[in-house]
Amino acid sequence: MPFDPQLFPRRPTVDEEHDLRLPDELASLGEQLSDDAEFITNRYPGSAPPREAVTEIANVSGRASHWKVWIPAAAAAVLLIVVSAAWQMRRPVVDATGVSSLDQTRVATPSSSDYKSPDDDLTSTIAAARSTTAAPPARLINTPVDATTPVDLAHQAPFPVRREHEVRNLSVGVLDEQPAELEDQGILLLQRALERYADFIDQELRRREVERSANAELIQSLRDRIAELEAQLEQALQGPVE
Amino acid sequence: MTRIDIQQAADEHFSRVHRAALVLTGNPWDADDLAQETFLVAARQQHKFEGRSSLYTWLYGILLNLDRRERRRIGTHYRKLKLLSLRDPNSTTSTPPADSPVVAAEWKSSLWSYVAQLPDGQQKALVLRFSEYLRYDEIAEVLQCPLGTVKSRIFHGLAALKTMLADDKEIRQLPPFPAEDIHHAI
Repeated sequence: MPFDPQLFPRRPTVDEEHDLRLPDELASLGEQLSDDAEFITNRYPGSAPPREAVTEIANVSGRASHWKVWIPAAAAAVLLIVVSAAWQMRRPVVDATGVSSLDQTRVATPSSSDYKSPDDDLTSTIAAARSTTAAPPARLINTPVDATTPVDLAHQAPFPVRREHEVRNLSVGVLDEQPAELEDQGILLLQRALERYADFIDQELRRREVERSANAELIQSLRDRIAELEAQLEQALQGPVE
Repeated sequence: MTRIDIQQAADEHFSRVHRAALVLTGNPWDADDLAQETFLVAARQQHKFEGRSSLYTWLYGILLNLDRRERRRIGTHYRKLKLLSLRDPNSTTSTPPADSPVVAAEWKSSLWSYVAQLPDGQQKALVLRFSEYLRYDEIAEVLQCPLGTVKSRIFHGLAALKTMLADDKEIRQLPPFPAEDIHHAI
């Protein structure tokens, strides 16, 4: 005969008024619990807290509750004023030439006319790469970029990169339409940050490429020197022993 | 925010709060501390009472929170002591284990000592229902859970209590209680 799970109710049953209807055994247990609680309580009556302590704490709490409300509100107001003031100071100012303060403070990126030829720059770069293994990124940003180098790594940036003149036109155009919309300014700032980041990645990849080629030259020269020394050693070993 | 007269509240509700603390802890001194601390916390945080619930349900909420915090603190101390004792396997101390409560003999021989072995939710629901005679909706308000959950906890708590009593081979005849004083029940 298969087991019938309905023989033993798993869920509490409720009556028409949605009140819990306990079986007789459980109801008697509940009554027993109530009787036990009454008995223990009568056996060990408690002692109420001292009136003075309660009154004093209530008075102190009543006074402190006002400060608990006002202090966070005042702190929030001060923080809001400071943030708004900082935001006002951060807004760009357009001068008579149409160049904004953001453009003036921007890190200078050399134009294509400032670029040196690869032969002029390669020797000094190899020497710098040999002297140090890791150049600080700040210097790399201001290092002239050679657009004529065969390996152009700018396309490896994982996002579209606007050129400098495009960004300048965008910024002047936005700032001419006073009042400047915050959203456009945010896009402009983000564009500039991304452009700097792309420049940095470009320079870093180029530096590593140069360093790698310099290391290859150094390794080749060392191999040549080793071969030369081996030849001298072999020649010396084949000579007469004094 | 409703301004309450905490002294009047203590006069009216201390006895029932103390009863709940006593059946929860089983120790008269701990129950005194717990009930008094409940009213001191209520006096300190009376600005948080919004008047949407009954005053005594708010007090029960404070009491249960304090009880939970105290159990957690004792549990943490017990685990630390257990770690210390594990470091010294040759220790032959006669000190009782840290989790052995000091309870009243009357409480230990009552059904509430079995209730203390139930899960936390069922224990508190049974205390509020059969010691404090709260309605189901009031229990749901104190425990901050749905009404159906309260009914389920009470039903399953009583069912588990019945099973525990059936498994116990030495079921005692409840009152009369022995007129002993407090002793250590290990």
